[in-house]
Amino acid sequence: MNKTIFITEPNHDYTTRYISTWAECVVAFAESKNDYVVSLKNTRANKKTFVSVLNKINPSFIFLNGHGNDRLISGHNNEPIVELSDKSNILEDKIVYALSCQSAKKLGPHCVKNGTKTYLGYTEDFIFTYDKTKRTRPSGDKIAALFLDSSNKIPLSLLKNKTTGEAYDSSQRAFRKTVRSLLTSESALEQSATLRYLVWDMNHQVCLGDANVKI
Amino acid sequence: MTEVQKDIVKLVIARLQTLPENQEISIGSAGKYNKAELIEHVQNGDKIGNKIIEVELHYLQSLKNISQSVLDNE
Repeated sequence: MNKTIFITEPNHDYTTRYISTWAECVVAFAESKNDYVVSLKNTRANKKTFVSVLNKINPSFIFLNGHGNDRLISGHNNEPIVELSDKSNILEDKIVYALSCQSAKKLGPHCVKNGTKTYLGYTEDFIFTYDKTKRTRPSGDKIAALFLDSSNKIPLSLLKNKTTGEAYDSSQRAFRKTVRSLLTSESALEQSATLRYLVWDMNHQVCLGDANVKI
Repeated sequence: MTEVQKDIVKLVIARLQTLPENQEISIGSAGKYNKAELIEHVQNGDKIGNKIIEVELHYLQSLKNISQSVLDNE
């Protein structure tokens, strides 16, 4: 059965430009499988549009890209999209991956407690490095790819009909494989300098709620 | 600042000195930073500096587990 995927892709600074560029890989893969993808890009990544589209399409998977903190995830120009202070849980009954800082610390557990099936995200800041000579063309940035390819294992695995727990494991393995490769090969300084941040992201990535569901 | 804390700051700055000049670090909504800016924040002991110290110490403390993982080829 074809899946319905809902993605936010703000693009107002270098960080959101990078994560949204990698989100496009997920969009392309989903569309290649004839899944139905709705992506809120740039200024459309705002709360009003998000809630409106969410109610209309009833997605099985929501992939949130944007800045955040322990109480919220934002979209374009850091406008909050999902907040701890929302009157009701707009992510109820959903499977969610938030590529956003800290949101799995308080917002994620709050959502799961209030009906979100699974919330995958980060309990601390998602930190990544990038080559500043590539920041106008992020897709060619091999440094940023070390982080964002590992992160993308979660949505890509879910689209391949894996469970949320398996998707989490897949991303963890990808991070570990990258770390191991950098430690055991004669990697360039540009790459090995990323180790501290890769380990940080890997160790703060969590899967909250039901680890046995599929989208 | 205690002597231990001063040593930690020195250690972190020494490690940051090894970062490549062409890289910037995105720390979520806190912003993006180059090597010189990171070192300055650590020297100032501000919020970003403390975060960077936390990340560096986290990595150093994780090394034992990482090394074991490499040996086990997990």
